[in-house]
Amino acid sequence: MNRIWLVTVREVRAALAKRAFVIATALMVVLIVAGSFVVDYFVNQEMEDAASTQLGLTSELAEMEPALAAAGEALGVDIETSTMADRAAAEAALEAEEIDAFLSGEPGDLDLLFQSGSNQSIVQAVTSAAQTTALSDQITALGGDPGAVAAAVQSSAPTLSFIEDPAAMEGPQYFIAVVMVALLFFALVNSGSQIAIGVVEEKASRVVEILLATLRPTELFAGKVLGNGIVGLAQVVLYAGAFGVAASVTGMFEGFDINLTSQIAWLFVWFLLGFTLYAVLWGSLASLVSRQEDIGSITAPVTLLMLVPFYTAMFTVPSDPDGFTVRILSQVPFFAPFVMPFRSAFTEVPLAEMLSAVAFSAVLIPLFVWLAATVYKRGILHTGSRMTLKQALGRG
Amino acid sequence: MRNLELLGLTKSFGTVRALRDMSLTVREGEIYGFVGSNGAGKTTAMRITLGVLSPDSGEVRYAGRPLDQEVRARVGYMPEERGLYPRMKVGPQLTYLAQLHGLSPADAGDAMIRWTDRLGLAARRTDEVMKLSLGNQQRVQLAAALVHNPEILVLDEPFSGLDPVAVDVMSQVLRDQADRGVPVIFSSHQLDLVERLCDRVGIIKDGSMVAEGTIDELRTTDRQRLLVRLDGAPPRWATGLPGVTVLDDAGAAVVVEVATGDVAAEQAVLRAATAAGTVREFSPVRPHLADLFRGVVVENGAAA
Repeated sequence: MNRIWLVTVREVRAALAKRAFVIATALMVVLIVAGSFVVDYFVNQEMEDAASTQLGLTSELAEMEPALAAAGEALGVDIETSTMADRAAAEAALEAEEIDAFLSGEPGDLDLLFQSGSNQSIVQAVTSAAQTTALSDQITALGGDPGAVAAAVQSSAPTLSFIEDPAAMEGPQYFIAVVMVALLFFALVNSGSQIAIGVVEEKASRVVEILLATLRPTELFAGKVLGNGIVGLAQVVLYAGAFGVAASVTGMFEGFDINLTSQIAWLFVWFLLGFTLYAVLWGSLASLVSRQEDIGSITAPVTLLMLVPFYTAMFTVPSDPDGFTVRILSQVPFFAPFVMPFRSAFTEVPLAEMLSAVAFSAVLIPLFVWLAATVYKRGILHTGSRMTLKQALGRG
Repeated sequence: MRNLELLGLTKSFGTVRALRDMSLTVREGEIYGFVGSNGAGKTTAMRITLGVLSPDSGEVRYAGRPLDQEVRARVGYMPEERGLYPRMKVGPQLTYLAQLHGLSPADAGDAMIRWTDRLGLAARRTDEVMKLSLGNQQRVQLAAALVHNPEILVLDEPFSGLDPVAVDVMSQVLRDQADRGVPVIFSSHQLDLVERLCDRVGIIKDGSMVAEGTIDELRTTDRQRLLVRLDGAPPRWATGLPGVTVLDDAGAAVVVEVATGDVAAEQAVLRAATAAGTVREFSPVRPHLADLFRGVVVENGAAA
């Protein structure tokens, strides 16, 4: 155990001594923070766009302003009006995107001008306001109080409520899910390839012969996996922390029902499980090659293999996060590390399903570690041409 | 006795039989030279000793007990293919290896300082191994084999690539270790070095031990050669003596061969020589290890 720990400590030190590694990690943190601010900028701008609408009016229609504002409020749109001198001024304003639409004519014969494409909420608000104005004219003509009627009409609109909040469904949910799973993918590929490079380095430099004169192959392998796992987890903590801090500073998810802390906590769990499954795969396969030049023949297929669950998660989960396929995939060990965090960003996954997915992966780990250690033991002292997996798993 | 014994080792790689029932014994405090042509099985035998390979049959014993994982931690090993972490600094690397062999961090640090001083690497402790010259890397490799104060030393080609000064340092270190009681076995193709340094020698051929013993024992063959140098002797003065074969009668020096222990034949040669001229030299010819090696290895093992 003590020797495994010595190997672990050496691996951590060796990783931290690599300048390229430190620079890449620092760059990634900068990228995450900068990316969060950029995304925040666009998200907020979009929200402003959606929340307030500029409507140009001719001065004759100024009396419609209160009715327009009230109609907008009923539709959940903030309509701001401004008076335009004539149609030419309005066209210039539309061109410059200072206003979204221009209303002219007279009550009963209104004319709504857009730059290109109509805005449904403006059309509705104007229609409703025109109807209200026409109605109040008639009410006045009949000797009634249009204000009282208008108030009664406005308050008779139904109150909208949702089982699932439609505003929280799309944008930020998807964004968080993609960021989380991409971080996970990046961290897994990164620490996996670190192990692969380390294994081949020991083999290529032949230091492994000295090491194996005192260490069992399994001890050396376990130490390498642990050491790189610690470094990888630290990376994930750093990235997720940078993302969490940036998100809370910008307040980009305020007003959305997103529990970032629990998402990040689960991310660590899935990193550990995913790492154990994939890292041992990287490490054991790397023991089959003898030279750094051949390492691509190992890392490329494993990376491709990892892209399958990664993209499966990206494409199947958002459309149907509680569908049958997704629920099954989120339980399957090699898919779960990507599908489950993605799924839980979109929907409330029952705790039982979370735990069973973890359990399935955890059960597979000892078997898989044993298999990987067997391949590693056979491969690590084999020199010369690349050993096939069949040779490594077969007799002797 | 804390002897290192390799007993009846057999190992095949596919169709190649690397070792066939190979045995040897390295006694406590002795330097054992392990010689043989390329591919004879030396490296395989050493790897099996270290547990890096496992034999198909046979076993390795130390002090009468099987050499297990626990004892292996106390073996100093220098593999034929040198190996160290290229990007790790000399000092931390040696300390790490010492700790892997069971030394406490403090002891490992002390041992690292001691051996880097001893091997002239004191100024190189903070350099990465890949930045050292080949000779210095070789010294670090030796330090790696010695840093945990081993009870047994197994060195595969420790002298290859060393300059004469480093060879002297290495020889002295091996002698010191043997004097401490450590059984030392090393393989080498530099037979003059083996001859000078080793207490006993084993010659391996095609995976089997074909000759083993002290240099003197190996030199003792059933035919004894004598060299006689005369002034003013006629040619062929030695021809026709009973029990004597003339090997070389080219000039002033004549080489003859008699059966080992045939004193009458030796004296007959001496009498014939004194009768023929003035005897300047009369001495037995001791074959060099290189000659023995050739005799054993090149001539299909017939001489053994």
